[in-house]
Amino acid sequence: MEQEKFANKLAQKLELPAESFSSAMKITLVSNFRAEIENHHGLIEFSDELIGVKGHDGIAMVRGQKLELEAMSDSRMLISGQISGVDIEVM
Amino acid sequence: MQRILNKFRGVYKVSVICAQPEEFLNLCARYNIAFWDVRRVNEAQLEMMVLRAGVKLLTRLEKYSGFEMNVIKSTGAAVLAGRLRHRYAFIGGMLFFIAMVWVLSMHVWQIDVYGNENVSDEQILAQLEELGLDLGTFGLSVDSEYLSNRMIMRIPELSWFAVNIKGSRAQVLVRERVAKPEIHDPDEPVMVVAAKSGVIEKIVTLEGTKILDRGNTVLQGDIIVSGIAENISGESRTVHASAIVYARTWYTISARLPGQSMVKEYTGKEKIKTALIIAGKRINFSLNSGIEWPDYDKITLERTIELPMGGILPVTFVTERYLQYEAKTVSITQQQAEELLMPELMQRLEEEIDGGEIADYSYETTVSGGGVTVTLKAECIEQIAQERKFTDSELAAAETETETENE
Repeated sequence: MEQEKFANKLAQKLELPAESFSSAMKITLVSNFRAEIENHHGLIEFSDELIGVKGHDGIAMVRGQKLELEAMSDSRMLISGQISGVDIEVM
Repeated sequence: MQRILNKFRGVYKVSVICAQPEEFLNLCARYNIAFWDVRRVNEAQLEMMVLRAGVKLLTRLEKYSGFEMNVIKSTGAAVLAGRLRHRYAFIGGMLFFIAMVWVLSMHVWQIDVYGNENVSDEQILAQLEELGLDLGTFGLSVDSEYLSNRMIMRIPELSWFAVNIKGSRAQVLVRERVAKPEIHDPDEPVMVVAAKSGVIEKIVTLEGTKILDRGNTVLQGDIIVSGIAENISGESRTVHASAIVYARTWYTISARLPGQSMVKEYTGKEKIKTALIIAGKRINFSLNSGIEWPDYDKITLERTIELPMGGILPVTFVTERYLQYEAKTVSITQQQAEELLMPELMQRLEEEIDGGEIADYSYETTVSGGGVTVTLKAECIEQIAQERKFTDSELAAAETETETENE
């Protein structure tokens, strides 16, 4: 955790993107129909209305309707459907 | 693009049953197994699309990873190839078929002749056959130059000859020799005679001595302008007589139609027979090859298998359609006969006068002996002058006369 904080501070000082030195999840939303999640640690929940993704320091719950897991690799995931919200819970 | 690629690589729709479907998807991600269209059927079951390579890996993982996988559907070229892998006879047959198509497409199965008008196709093809180019000849063995030299010698009417082999087609191009034109000798002694009988309407003498004049009646062959003329000193000499002579001519042309005629009335019954012609050998697919109807029309349709790049195979599908009809006798009325015959008579007259003018004409119709006769009577004005060489006796007489005058 300390390492994570240090990495964030270093990125800020060097004016680099926050994810440069960190393994934190990066979630990119394209309007309400697509979400790309990077640096994930696997699925924890999967249904048409809710997709739960585990990250390094928490979990992200993508809520919506007709959610589909379009593609998934070891570190990236692509979700499509009618996304109504993303809840992030930091542990 | 990805979808097209996947069609080649082989795509499987699989059903997976496991306690934690999420864990199964994490497992796929960890082993880089590409998947898409994931659908959760129930708490413990998933359906998804996976590539052929992914299925292989999952089959290995299935043994110790606590899930059960079933293939629901598989598509793609790789899948098809995998299915056919152990069907040796099928693969052998396919390879044999491809080899046969390839070998056959290298032979000539069609010869088309272009550019001939007076020399018949049959004559050219017969000579080509003797020189070694026939249906079934190996295309690469055809020597166009050799054929060209031989064909021009064998058929003197040809001035140029070439053969192009395009796939299984041999394109024979010919040019015919232009006939030597008839040389008009202006000094040759000739007479101007009447080509047809008639009454002279107009005469313009260009050379020679005018024998007949306007208003005279001439019979076919009568001399109108003589080829013996006198010069200024009164001496006779033979000349090439020339004149333009228009005469009034008369024609009577008749045509007859019987009072009754046979027409076809189709009954609606038809039979279709099919056959296959392979390299000239016919194979009938119809067991009963006879047609029991007394009257029928036969329409034959032939289709040849064509390959890309202009190739053809020596395989022709033949479809023969037989249409039954009944021959019915119908009466022909006088009006119908006139409508049929009058234009035909007029056409014959126009051909006869060859550019002449029709001054007057009338039709007469007579019904006799169960038939209808239509007669066209016409009065025409046409050119009747025709050159004729001196006969031996005329020439001898002319020479004698000239010699006497000289003495």
